Amino acid sequence: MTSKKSLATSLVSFSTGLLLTLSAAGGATASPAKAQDPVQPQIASTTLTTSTAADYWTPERMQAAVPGDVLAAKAVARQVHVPWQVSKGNGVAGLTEQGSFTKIAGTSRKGKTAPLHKDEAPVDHIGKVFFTLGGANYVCSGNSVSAANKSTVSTAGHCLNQGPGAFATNFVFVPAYKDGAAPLGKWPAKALYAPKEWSSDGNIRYDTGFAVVAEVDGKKLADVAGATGVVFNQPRGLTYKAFGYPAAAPFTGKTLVSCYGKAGNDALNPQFETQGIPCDMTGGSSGGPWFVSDGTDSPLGFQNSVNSYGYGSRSTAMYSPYWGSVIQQVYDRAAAAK
Amino acid sequence: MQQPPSKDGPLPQEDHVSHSEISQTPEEILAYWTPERMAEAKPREIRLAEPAAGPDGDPEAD
Repeated sequence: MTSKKSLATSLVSFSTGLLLTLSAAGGATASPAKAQDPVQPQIASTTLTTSTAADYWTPERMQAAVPGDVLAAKAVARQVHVPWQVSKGNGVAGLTEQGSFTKIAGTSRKGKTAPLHKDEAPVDHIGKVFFTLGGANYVCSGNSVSAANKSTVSTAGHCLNQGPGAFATNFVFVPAYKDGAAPLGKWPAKALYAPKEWSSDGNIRYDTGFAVVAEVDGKKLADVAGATGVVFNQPRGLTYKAFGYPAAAPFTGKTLVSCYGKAGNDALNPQFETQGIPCDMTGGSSGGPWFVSDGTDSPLGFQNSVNSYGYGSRSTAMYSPYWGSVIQQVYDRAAAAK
Repeated sequence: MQQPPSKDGPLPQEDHVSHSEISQTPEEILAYWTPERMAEAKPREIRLAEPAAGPDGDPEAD
């Protein structure tokens, strides 16, 4: 356990946002060729008025348009009969073009890779959590879970405790958050729970926490926002749908996002016993729920983990802790709290 | 399908729970979170050191 702790804590680094390197493409410049310049290719150009061109192409004209390769073939045929061309052998010879070797690289559609997430409409029991740690205000994601007290919210351990270190203050859960609105209210926490392995050792293997929230206007959270079931000690390699409110670029944190896929082990750090799914959610999604999927991407079933960590600044996988008996014990204690 | 670990760290009968009772009243917490503070709250995240090559775990998109 000690070695795991030291490895985890040495690798873990908290950051307040992703580093995103943006490169501005410089505009290419070229000197126009002089007309009739014998060493420059002669280029004819015409300035087109976009609207005029668009108006020109009626459906009838488009249908009647001659294929370009037909015109090209005619142009080649015309060149055969140009007087100054000399036929050599059995080919058609023209002026021999000479010049320096020129190579112009193509460009790819940067930033157009397929997203590993899906935009979602708000879900009543999923929301954002806001809290203060070490004097700074932070945001993560959370979910209302089924509990005897009807007032329990799941999130990541690092979203309510420094791991290792102090618990958060000013913790509040905002279910169904969208664009700054809190249609189901704001639910302040009364108590926060985390595995000792997280709060004392910062062991990422146990990066989960639960908040017990106060009643609001005499009502309990689960009666207003609903609550999903939870499940522990499941087989590994299940298919999951994960939700969260990623706020670090390129996301804004204003809307809910999901990822979906079959979980695989973290091969880089197998000692964590975590699982990952393809996902490009960024900071702010931490603590968002993972639901066991029935093989489709339809929600929601039972919650079986939370968004925990990724690798590097542009992670394409989200990893989550295995919810075993230790995390179950924490859940049991929180769910029973008055 | 793999089976869960046979042993989930320390034995479950041990007390693994730490908790903190919030000293602030609900009203104080709600008053603290002004729209400005919510908008300026920073995402808290864990990003592990980026490997030379991508993680060779086998998460799969369905």
